[in-house]
Amino acid sequence: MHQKWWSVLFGVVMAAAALLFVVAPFAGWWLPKNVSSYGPGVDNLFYLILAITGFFFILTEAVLVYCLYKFADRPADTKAQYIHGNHKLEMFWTAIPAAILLLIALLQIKTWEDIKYRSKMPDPDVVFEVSARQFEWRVRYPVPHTMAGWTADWKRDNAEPAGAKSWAKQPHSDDIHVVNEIHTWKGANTRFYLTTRDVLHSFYLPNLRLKQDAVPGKRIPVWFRATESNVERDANGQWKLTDEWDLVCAELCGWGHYKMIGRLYVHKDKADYDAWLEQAQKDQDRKQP
Amino acid sequence: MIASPSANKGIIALALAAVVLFSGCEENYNENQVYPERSDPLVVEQFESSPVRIDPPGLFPNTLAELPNPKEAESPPTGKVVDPSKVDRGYRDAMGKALEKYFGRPLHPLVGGIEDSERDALKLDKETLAEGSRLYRLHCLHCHGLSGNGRGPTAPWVNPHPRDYRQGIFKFSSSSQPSGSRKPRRDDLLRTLKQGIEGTSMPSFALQSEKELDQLVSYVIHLSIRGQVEYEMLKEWNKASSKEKPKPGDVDDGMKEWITLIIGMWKGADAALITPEAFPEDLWGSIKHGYEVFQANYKDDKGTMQAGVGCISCHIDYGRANNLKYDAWGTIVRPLDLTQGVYRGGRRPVDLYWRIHSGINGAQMPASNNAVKTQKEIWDLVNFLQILPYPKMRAELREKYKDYTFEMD
Repeated sequence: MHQKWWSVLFGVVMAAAALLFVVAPFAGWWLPKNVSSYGPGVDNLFYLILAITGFFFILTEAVLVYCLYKFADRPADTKAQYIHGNHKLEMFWTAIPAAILLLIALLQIKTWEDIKYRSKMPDPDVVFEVSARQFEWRVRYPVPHTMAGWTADWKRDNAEPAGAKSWAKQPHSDDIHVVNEIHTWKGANTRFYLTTRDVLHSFYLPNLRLKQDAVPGKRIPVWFRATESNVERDANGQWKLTDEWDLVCAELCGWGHYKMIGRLYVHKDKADYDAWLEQAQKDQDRKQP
Repeated sequence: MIASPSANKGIIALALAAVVLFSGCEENYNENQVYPERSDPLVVEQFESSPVRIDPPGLFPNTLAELPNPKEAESPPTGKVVDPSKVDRGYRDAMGKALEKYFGRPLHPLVGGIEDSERDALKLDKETLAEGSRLYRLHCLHCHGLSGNGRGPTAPWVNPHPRDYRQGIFKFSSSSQPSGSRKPRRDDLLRTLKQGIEGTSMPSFALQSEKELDQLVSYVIHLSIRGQVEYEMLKEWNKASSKEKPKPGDVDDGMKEWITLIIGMWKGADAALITPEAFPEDLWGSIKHGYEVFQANYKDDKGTMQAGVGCISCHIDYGRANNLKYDAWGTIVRPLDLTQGVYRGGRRPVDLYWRIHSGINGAQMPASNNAVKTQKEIWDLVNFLQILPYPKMRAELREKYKDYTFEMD
């Protein structure tokens, strides 16, 4: 008799797991705030897959719990029945999931293109380089007038200017170096070259739904556009975050992998970003203590 | 219960394990944990020999067997390494007690034997140190070790090895104190924490709050003072002839004297900032002269041979072909490859100025403020360094001075 309690245990745990999904958005345990132009595409795919897999999860678990309950405590005096299965049923429950997977594969193409394909990346308003190393993100910005030249050429030719390409390979002496901070402004087409100085890392901005592995030896172009700003200037002229949008490492890279956190600063507009860049340049160029 | 007796036990065991796992660790740090007694060898004199290779991963080079020239048979010993296990047991026990009296334990650190004004100036009060200690255990201990010995579990696996604070030497300082008593200013330590050390395993801790960084700096200073007191007293005991060895009874007074001396150095650092000269106006002229000063000697405009600072003697081929050396901690270093554009102590012009002006403590980079003819020459060197990593800028230098032969590539 007591064997039936296992089905209760399973049933309760499965029900609690399902309930968690219902409760999570209201408890703040759900997806981080989406401030990305291609974010909705990613989230929609997520919800679609969640709905499909959730349906099948509840279905199969319900069947499991039912079987656990019904067939527990059966006396061992009945002979087992051997059946050959049901060919039609097996075809059915293979073909349907295959069709669903194919559907998902087709539906995700556009979103993947928008995020990853170089031909689909819009001409950038801001360009920089992110160099991952154990255990921080070293960011290198070109000086404003250099970048203005590239972005103008980019828009005119609709192709990556040679200057930007060579800058990605070889630093300039007037580059502005910052650690663990990504700066851009609201609505700017932001493009950067992702490199790593040692092992595999992965550039992950949860709020932008952006993840890109940093592969040793490669210089990978990545783009995003933030739809909201999280930076304000306080009374002392310091730039402060109103919302923390983390940059984290998503590829295990050593003992400090969990500590490899940076911050995303999305300024209100280009003027604010330019002001910050100018200040960063001054700080780097200090000739007096 | 739910199922068979053995399954019941399994469920209870799982529940208990979950309670233990998820109960957290930090609040239960052991009251009785003390700073360990120093057992690794003390390097008391700079090694002049050249190592043949950098130490392999997982090893420190300075076990007694591996360090060159341990000479202990003579009395007093003239070697460069002191084996702490050879120091009189009674003296070591007395030292251990006194160190605990003046410096406390990891959970309750303190700095005793100093004036209140000194404690305030260096922010070494008990509350700051206790919080600093907690943060240190969280963020720093696995590399820098419990007593700041640079021998935490991660330490043998990274190159360069983490800093050992116990000799009271910190590489990157903007203080103008003479070498031997040169300490970092508080700003220097804060800057190291905020920007990390590019080219090493020291990451940036800029995401900690200002207050937390301040507490960490205070704790590091505490560890350094404690370590240096222990180091100096062991060195002193070793140096004394066998008839005049200090006695256990002398430990307390001796320690107080050392604390006073070392605190004075730390206080002096904050007041002794190197303020650079005015920046030269003729930038490219400055760069060219920086190139000249970098060499051992050069011909000036009149054709007379002048002595340069001779940076090139260590930074061979501008750092591309450097030899390995030993530093003051007995670990292996190499002069920086200046063509890479990676500067450990900071890349700002003023940082490079400080490095050249007063050298890098402990690392065989000497102070050059007396080797240059005028302080402006330090700026010339800085400006030259700033174009050195960039082939286009080197080409531009050649363009501007077509008649001059630059041997840089």
